[in-house]
Amino acid sequence: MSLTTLPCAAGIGLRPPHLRQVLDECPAAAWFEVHAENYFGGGASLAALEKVRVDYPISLHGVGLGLGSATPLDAAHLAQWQTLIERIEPAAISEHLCWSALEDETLNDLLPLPYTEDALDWMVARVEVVQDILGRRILIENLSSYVRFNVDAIPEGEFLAELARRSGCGLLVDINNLYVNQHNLGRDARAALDALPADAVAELHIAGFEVREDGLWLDSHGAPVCEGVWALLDDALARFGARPVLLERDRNLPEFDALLREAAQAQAALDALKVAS
Amino acid sequence: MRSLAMLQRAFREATHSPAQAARLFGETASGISAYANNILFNRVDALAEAFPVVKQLVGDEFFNAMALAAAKAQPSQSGNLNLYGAGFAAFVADFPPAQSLPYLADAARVDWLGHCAYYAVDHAPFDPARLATLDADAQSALCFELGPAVGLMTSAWPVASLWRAHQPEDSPDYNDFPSPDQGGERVLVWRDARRRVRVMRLLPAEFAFLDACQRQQPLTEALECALDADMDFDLGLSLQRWINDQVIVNYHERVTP
Repeated sequence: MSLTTLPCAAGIGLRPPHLRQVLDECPAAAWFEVHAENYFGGGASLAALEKVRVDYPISLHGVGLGLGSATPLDAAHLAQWQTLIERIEPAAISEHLCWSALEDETLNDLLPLPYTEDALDWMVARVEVVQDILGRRILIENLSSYVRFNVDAIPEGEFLAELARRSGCGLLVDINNLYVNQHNLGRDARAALDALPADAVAELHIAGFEVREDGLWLDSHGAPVCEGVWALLDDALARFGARPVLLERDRNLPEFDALLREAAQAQAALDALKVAS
Repeated sequence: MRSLAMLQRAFREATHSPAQAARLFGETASGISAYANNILFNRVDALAEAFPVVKQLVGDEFFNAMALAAAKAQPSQSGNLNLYGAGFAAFVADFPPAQSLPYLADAARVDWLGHCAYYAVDHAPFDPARLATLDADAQSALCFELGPAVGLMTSAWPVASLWRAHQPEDSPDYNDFPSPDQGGERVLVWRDARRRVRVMRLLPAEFAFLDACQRQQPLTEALECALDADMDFDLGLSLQRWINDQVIVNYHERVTP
């Protein structure tokens, strides 16, 4: 199975407060991505998503598996993933290059891995296990990070490239996260793009961040996409070719129409690519 | 080389130890504070979503302080934050500043049952016509099964009425604010055929019957429990309503030993 059957068009992160409007008005969005965990179990939310999927391709984006945690995988969590995949038949499934749990505590955050051979081996093995259980390839997203381990030995782009090469997973490249990391950690965002294998890159994310008092950029998904990220998106599209581009917004959620307008700007970037080629 | 597990353990320590953060992260160590906040506030947000009536009862400021204390005391155990909060009612019961509101912990239990009902797995409704095909012996040996969304509890306080008083006025469950001293209630929480979370007061016999079903008792014993509570318990009418409402969603025949 291919990495994704999402269209190479601009999609929107669909959050529960907008579900009703999307069902009622069928807005002109190319596709939607939802957080998988919000639809675990059953009930009204899942029933609504089953209606949305009739009219739009759906991408399921997990935030809770903690693939890189040095603890056993949560079998119940994976079983919920399986059930949801059967119900929704998503066009793509994705998770993060991160860890989130210790033996006695789940931290429910996307925590950065040290970029070491040790961590790479572990991630490759875990992605392989999950792909075996789910019966399909997953996309792995690069994180925004606020710290860098002293033991880091592999550049971020190379780490992701090697993970994709060895596990067969696809890559979900978050442009905003590269941009934020460049500011916070001094990592070169364009060097990371250059290191990634284009045929593994199956989806791009864009979002907005906020500036903390001490100058740290927080990847809050709470603001519109900034100019620097739009420019980096253009570079990524030039490097990889047309890809599904997702606008994410989680905090300070605006009216849905504002998201449609912002997604239209991403669509314009994709359209410009076609004209140029 | 230090193992991945050790580095992750050290990362957690660094969220409350600047010295550890400096050792692990060097010049980027100050960024660790973003994680310390996220870890706790993600739990607080999850509690705010799962306990809306408690939050309304005590106000945002009190709730956030109580939830933050709970977030520190009770680690999450799942990557799915919708599962976080099972221990919150017990925490509220022991939280010193909440002692002046003795019903608050039971209000939290109702909220939690409602939260679980919202996310409970779907179950196909049950066709009562299937019951008619059973002979009398089989009928008396059958065990009714409650839906995955159903929760039952008792309280010395009118917490079902309290929950209902916090619903929109056009909700099927809305009622006026109860007086705290109007007595205890038996509470049924479930998800109806339109996938709405519902809360009802139960009569003693109704509670006794459903509680027996939840304990996997066969019909004859569940009925006995109900009749002990009230000789006038109307089995036919109650069954019809609970099957329609998807409180009872299935039955199985008891395997005779």
